[in-house]
Amino acid sequence: MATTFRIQPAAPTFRWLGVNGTERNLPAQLPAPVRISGQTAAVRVNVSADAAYTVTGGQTVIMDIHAAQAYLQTHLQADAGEKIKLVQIFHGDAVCSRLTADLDDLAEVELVQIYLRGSDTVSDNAVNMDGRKSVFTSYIGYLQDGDSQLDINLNVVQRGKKSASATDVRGVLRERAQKVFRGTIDFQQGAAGASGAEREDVLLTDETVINKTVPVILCAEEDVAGTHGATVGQLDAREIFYLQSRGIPEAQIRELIAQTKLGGIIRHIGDAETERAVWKLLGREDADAAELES
Amino acid sequence: MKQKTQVADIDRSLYDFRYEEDAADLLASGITPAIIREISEEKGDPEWMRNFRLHSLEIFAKTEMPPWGPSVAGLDLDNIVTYIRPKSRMNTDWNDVPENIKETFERLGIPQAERESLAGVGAQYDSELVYHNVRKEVAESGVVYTDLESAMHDPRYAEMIRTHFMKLVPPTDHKFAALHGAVWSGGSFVYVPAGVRLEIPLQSYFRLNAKGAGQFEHTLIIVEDDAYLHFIEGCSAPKYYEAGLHAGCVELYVGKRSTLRYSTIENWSKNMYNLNTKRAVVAEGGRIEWVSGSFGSHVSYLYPMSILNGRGAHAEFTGITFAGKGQNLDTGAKILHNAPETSSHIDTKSISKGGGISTFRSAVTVAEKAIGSRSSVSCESLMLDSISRSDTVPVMDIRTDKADIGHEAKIGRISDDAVFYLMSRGLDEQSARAMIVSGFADNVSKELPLEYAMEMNNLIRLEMTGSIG
Repeated sequence: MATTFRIQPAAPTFRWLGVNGTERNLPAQLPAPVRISGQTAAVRVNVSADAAYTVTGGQTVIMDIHAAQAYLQTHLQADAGEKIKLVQIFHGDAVCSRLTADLDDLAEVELVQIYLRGSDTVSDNAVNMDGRKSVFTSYIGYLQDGDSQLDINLNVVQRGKKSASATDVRGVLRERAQKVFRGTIDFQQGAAGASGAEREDVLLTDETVINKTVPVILCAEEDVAGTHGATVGQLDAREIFYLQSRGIPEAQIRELIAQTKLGGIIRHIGDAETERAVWKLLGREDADAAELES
Repeated sequence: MKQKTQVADIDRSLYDFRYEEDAADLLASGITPAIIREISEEKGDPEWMRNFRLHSLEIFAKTEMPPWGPSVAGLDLDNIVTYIRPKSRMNTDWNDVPENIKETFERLGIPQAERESLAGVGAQYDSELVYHNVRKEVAESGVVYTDLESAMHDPRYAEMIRTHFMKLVPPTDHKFAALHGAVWSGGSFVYVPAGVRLEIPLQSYFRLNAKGAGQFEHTLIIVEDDAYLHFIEGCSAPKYYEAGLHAGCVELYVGKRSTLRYSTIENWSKNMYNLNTKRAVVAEGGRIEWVSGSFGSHVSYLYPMSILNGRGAHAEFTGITFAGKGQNLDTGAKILHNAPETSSHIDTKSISKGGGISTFRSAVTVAEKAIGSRSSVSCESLMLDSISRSDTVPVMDIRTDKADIGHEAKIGRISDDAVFYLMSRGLDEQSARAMIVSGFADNVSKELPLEYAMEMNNLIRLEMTGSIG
């Protein structure tokens, strides 16, 4: 018997927009979570089938998610004063991922997610910032093409006083790719002095793409500062013209600009080997990571 | 001890007077085929309209309540009176309007506004228009401004009504659009011929006096090519303990290279459910400008929609929402870019205080064929205390690579730096905060004619009290 994986947005809206959630069937038996803690070096995890992990403080984890039709469940437990960094590289097909994070006082979580060309990826991320002065930073990048579909939900709930969240999302949609990104900052009562910022920058390169962006702010606290920004647009004609004048063919220019967009996210991986691997997935084996990101 | 500055609720005393209705004037409450037939009979509907009402009722019965907005659980539709027989036929001379109705509108300043700054005025009291007048020179230019029922029975306009009525907002749109289709009554019809520019506004004012009743007026405006119209809509009701319902409908047709500015100051009492639907379709090079102030109601669902169907069409929405104690106001705008090189701009402000809930909700959709289109959305929210809520729920659905879309949202409190700056210029803290909050509403007030900007500022009446610690 299958169970249902369901994304339920924090704030549903007009039904005809088709952004009020999504569902997938999953196998009934999910594996017991593997605990990752106490390692001084970054832990590398290959996800090739259903998997569950619990990551505790002081840990850096890099996940290479290349499974097909798999369910990944990850929980980040950042206790008082602890720091966790999680890097997730998605390049499998039909992956359902659920990430939860709890941040205690002064805890810090940094999340880097990169979604590359996987078809029908669904990613639900719920971050609870109960801790005073807790900090959550996320960098999310995607490049989707072909007939791929990507559905990302990020819900950051801030209850902790002076908690701070920042999310930077950059992506490229090509060919017939479809994407939904719902980013929610939810300031709850008691989050006095909290701040939250989120930005999504989407580049569309073909007339058959579908992009849905849902930047939500929910606020029940007076003393907060929240901002949201989104830009969705096309390649800059002047930029293309300039590069063409330097002798670069248009097809190559388009590829370069798309890769540059992701470069701003890839550099936050902070691990040269992984960054090289990501560039390789993007078809760039000819330069080192530092050069590509500069 | 530090005491917070207080910002007072809107002073509603001007609007909270009422007259008792004669029970014989009220149709039975509830929404049934028998009541719909009775309304249709009372109004002398043509057959197509009677059938339309009954068909809408069937849709209403089958359609669910929207699952995503504020609760309407306090609204018992079985107890809403959908039609109140008029005490007077429609008049074109103010002196012929019954005394208590005349007094109502005089207290609201309507005749004075007509004399001073309007090209024409319509006044609806409960279910029917009681007064409609348009300046002679305006009528001579070919502009038609009358009540919708008269237009529907006038051979010159009957076909126009039939081909436009509820075509932009079909009864299948949502449950309350279906309800409107079944029980609509009153409202205005405006026709501006090609090439006519009406430099001074027309205004319709809607007053719901009866207890536990609904108002379902329909506004239909057709602006032909190369024309200009500014239409102002005002509404209010006295406060009762029983829930009241406003489920009006506005359909606007904007011709090629024409501009229609539609301004609304909504000030229903806090027992009202304002479930209103407004929609405009804009032809090539045309322009729709919405200016909207939402201050009243217990619950509001209001998202004027602009359908940009012609190349180069433009939509602009400028709005402010003030949600005080007991209010849950869900407002915003919808834009559909459905032709090349269309553009839109949404600029909204919201203020929440005293436990009020304000939600900005929007949808910007760019269709495949809308190449070269641009849209920008800016929404700012001000929280005046921590018992209130302010949410923003925008959606962008973009289906072409040849469009540029931007969205900015900001939420926060009154800036201490701004208060400090103003105090350094000689203002006390109380005045500084009052000035900042008033200035926050400036995006709407500067878009209104002076008289209406003043009315809006009076509505806000932000009084600052209490010591500052």
